[in-house]
Amino acid sequence: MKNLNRRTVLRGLGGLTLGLPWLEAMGQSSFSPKNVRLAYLFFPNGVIPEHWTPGRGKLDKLPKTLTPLEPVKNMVNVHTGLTHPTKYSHVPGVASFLSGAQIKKGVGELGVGKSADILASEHLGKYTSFSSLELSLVGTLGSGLEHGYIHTMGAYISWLDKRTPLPRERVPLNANHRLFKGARKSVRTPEETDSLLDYVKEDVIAMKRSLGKEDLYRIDQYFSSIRSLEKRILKATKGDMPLPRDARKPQSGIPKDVRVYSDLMLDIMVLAFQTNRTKVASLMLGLAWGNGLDFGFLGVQGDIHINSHHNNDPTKIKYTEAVTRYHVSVYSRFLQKLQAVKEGDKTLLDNSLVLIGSDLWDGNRHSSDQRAILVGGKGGGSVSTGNHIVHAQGKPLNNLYVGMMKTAGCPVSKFGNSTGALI
Amino acid sequence: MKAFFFLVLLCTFSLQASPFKQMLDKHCVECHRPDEMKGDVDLTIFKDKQSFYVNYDLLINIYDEVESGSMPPEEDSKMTSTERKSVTDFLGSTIHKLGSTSTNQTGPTKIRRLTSYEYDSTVKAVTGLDLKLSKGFAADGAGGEGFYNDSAILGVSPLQFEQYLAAAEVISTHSNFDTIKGFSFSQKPSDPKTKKETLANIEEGSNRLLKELYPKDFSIKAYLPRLMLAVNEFFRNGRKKELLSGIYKKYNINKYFLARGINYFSSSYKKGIIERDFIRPWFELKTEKYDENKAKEVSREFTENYLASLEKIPEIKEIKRQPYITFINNIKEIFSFTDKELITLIDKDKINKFQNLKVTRDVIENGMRSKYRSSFARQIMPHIRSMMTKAYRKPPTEQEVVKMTKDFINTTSRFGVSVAAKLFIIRTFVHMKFIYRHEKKYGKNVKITDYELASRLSYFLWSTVPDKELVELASKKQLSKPDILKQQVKRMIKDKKSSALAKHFAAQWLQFDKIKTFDHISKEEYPEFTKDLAKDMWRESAICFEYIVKNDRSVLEIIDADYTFLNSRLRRHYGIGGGHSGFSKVMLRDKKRGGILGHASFLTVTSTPLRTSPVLRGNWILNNLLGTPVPPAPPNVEALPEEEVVSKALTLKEQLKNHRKSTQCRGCHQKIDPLGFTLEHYDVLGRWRDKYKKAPIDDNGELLSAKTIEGLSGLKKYINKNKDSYLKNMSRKLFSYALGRSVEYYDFYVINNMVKSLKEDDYRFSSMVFEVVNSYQFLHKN
Repeated sequence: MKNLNRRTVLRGLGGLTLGLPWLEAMGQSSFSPKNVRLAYLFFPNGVIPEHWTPGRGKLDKLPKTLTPLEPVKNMVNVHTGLTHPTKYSHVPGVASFLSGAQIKKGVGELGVGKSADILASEHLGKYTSFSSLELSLVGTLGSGLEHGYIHTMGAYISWLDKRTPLPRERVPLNANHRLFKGARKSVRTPEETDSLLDYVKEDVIAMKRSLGKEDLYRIDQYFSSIRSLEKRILKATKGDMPLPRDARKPQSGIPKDVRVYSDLMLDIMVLAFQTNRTKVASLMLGLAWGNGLDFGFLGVQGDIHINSHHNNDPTKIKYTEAVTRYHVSVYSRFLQKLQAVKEGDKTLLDNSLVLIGSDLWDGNRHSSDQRAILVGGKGGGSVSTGNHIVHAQGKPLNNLYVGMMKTAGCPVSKFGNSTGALI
Repeated sequence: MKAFFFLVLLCTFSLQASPFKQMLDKHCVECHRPDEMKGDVDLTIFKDKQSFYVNYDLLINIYDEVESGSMPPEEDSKMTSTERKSVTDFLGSTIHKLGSTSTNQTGPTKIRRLTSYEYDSTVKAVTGLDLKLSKGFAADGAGGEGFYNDSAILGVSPLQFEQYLAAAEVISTHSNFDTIKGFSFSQKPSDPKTKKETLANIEEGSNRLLKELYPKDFSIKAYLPRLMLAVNEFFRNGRKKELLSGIYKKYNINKYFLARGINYFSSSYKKGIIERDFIRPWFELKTEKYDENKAKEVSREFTENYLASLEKIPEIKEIKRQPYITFINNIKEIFSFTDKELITLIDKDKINKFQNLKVTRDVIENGMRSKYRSSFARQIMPHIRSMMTKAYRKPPTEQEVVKMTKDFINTTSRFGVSVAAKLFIIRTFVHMKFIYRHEKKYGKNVKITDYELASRLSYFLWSTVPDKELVELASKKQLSKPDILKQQVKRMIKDKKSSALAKHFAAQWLQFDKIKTFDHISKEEYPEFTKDLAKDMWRESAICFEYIVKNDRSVLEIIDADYTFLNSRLRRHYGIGGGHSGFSKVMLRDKKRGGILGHASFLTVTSTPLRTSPVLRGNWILNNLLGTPVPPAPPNVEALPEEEVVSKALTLKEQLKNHRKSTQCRGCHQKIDPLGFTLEHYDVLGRWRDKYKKAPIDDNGELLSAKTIEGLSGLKKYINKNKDSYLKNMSRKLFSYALGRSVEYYDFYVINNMVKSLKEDDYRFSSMVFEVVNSYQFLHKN
């Protein structure tokens, strides 16, 4: 009972006992989250291997696509050879990116599975206002199927469970408001809001009586969602730090210029970490296939997915490489922004692990026997960086996900087909 | 009986299944095994009887591949024609048996939340306001057969809950509450009133109502002296009841005031110490020598004393106040009305209003302790019940209403009635029974209630709540009667609300919902692709589908029709002259248009930024019309030899032809490409072109069978020849959309029946709908 005050508990229970996930917070007094932040970025369509792969060992001269990493190369590891159980690319490749699952054709339950960021957030998010933050520069792929795979799979990397993708914030100002403006609506007094949420929870609990067993998880889901808001309203989490004075409020709407847009999203993630609003975040820089973002500023023409299957056409190679290099530069900027924030005698980057990866390895050939992966940050100090780590073929990418979670202090030892932990 | 038959069926074919499995082992599993998964297919899964059934869909796929000769691939195949025949014979009969047997399984009936567009239409149906709140929501995912309404995917995340709460908050600002009239919604939002404001309003309202009972010039100062004279006259003349009416007319005094005045001024009335002093002169007026002037003076003095007491009260110390207060109250009482009097004095409506204000005030002040608690509850309960019924789309349980009413009273006493009403609205609109489509569960394969049937029907055909007629039939348990059900479905299809089928079902199935936000076309090359043009493309496809639905026409017209619907912008786009500026039906003279394959919507969403894509178009046809998707491109495709691609002389067709030389690519591209090539006369935006890059168009597609499909009309003929695939795929899509879930093996029975009904009924759209609606799956829940 030390972790949560009595009133919080009584409110949460509404007088009834539910086997809901958040209750774990009370039992696990032994779990002490380390001050490590985890971020997961995604870019589409794989890479051009010869422009991506550096020399083995210490990172020295960077290959073309990775040149934007130059200012932070001693803070990054390049991982090659990590494999993923989902062989088929693009659409299932996106959904499986962080869920580490083998996605099979056939619809219904989707079978994606809880993604690594969400699993981490279940542990790290208990004491922050937001258990996790999901951002995206791109919308969805809409309705329909492709090759028997639902388009939805190509649009989300963060999954709550095997069938529920987590919607993202796409508008920077909305994300900013949600994170920093306070959870309470201005027209309601605190007492009114509290009373309302209490009633809303009672209603959800009452639903238990009228639903079948297989629907109970929907109730849990709904209840957790209410709790998640309530947690912020009640200020059960004392860890929120004030916004730094120089923090800028983003413009409204979605900026047309991708560079401005991605920079705003990076700032939001940095601020969210810096002010301890959350310890886990994900950001999608693209969807399976194209995404409608305008890369004209790179001199790129045409659809980035079609270009990625370049068939050795030099122009398409040039375009594809330029777009991937741009995505790496976004990643590099993020690391630099984190590095610019001091936390005691360390930087925020020292206290983070930032992964970026794609649905494929060689986009041209649809090859996905391994995936293109970079991991930046020191994870609190324990991770040595600045290397190209070549993994024996067959080593699961999921081992890296387990390694990241462990480094952040999550009691996780197994994820999907993992055979151990690596970082 | 059916279950027994099914068991027998499984047993008999498991005997015949072993040669089939041997055949798979011999010819197929080398590539199609879990660690290889060529073509995304695993053929080691046929382990037991049930596995055949569960993989019904795959069986059909194998049948098609083996029968057409595309599998096993020529270069690996040692499959003799006898072996081939044994496989197709076995599969043919198995597929037939499994597909024509109902197992009476409902399938999963998970609760699911409303989609964004259902949310908006439901809010509109409940409030009467078109608030379009879902604009602020995160986009929905799609599941099952690719529809947004798939129950597996429709959950609620913390972000979405916040969005629902914010939306409910907005709805509440549009809501008004009156304890008599109940809830109403208005376009203009309003802030709730605080408890203090509400109490002040009640006070004012009560006063306003009472004021009507008094003469306009009423004041105690003017009326009290008159009353005293009147009472005196009554006393003087021997207190005869029959005199009363004359007296109150003469002095123009309300009879109730007079009655109470008589009572008060009689000597037996208990008066306070000070007023006894004030009233003594009045008592001393001698009756035998009545002096009217004296009487007037005495009355005026008494009144002045009363008014002075009123003024003095604040200055008088607490302990000495009481005698004055008694005096003041006694006089006030003369001039106020009892409840009984009020009933006879004012009309019922006003008296109710007054009572309501009194009750509400007391409940605000005393909450559950109020003596009027139960009458307040009686007043608000019908409003609460009716709001819940609308929002939940079925009557709430009595227990729910009682609980909600009790909470309403509590919040009323805490925050005032206005805030309580708004909180109730918010609570109702974030209730799972509003956010979700909810059916009460108790057991396996249970028949749904009539209310649930009404809801399933209306969300299927209208994407919104059931209308009055459906609800009324449901309340009488009539809706599930087969003849009434059929009649209602007919009515619903004719109703204008069935345009939802075009807007949502067809737009998602035929993918034209993508066109409005399609941003893949190069803006530099095709500046003419404006938002307005995109909207028109969407409308052409939607209106054509709607026309088929409303007029119950043949679903083959989706593929081929001699008409379409165009406005002036699209006419110009297509190069068709004449007609109105708005959308109207156009009869087509040539074979260049007609049917979805000639719609700019389809032709545009399957183009790449700078050029058309026969691959994407062909793939679209396989995916969405024929329902025979090819697997995704395999990992590690060999790239084409560099020199071949780089030499710019190769046309796209030649490039793709090269592509098909690769054994890895051929299997699928020989199915995709020929279909796409037939549409080469249509450019990136679906306009007709005679040349591309100065070269004449070649719109022939060569099939594996060496037959050639020529142009759009050839393509339409080809699809018509394969209409079983088309009808089956469409039925499958409609079934999935209607049930809000993916298709399971036991559903193929219904889908096959849908195809059968279509064929027997001139392919009328409704025949397919009747089959779905009457299916075991549609009428039961788990």
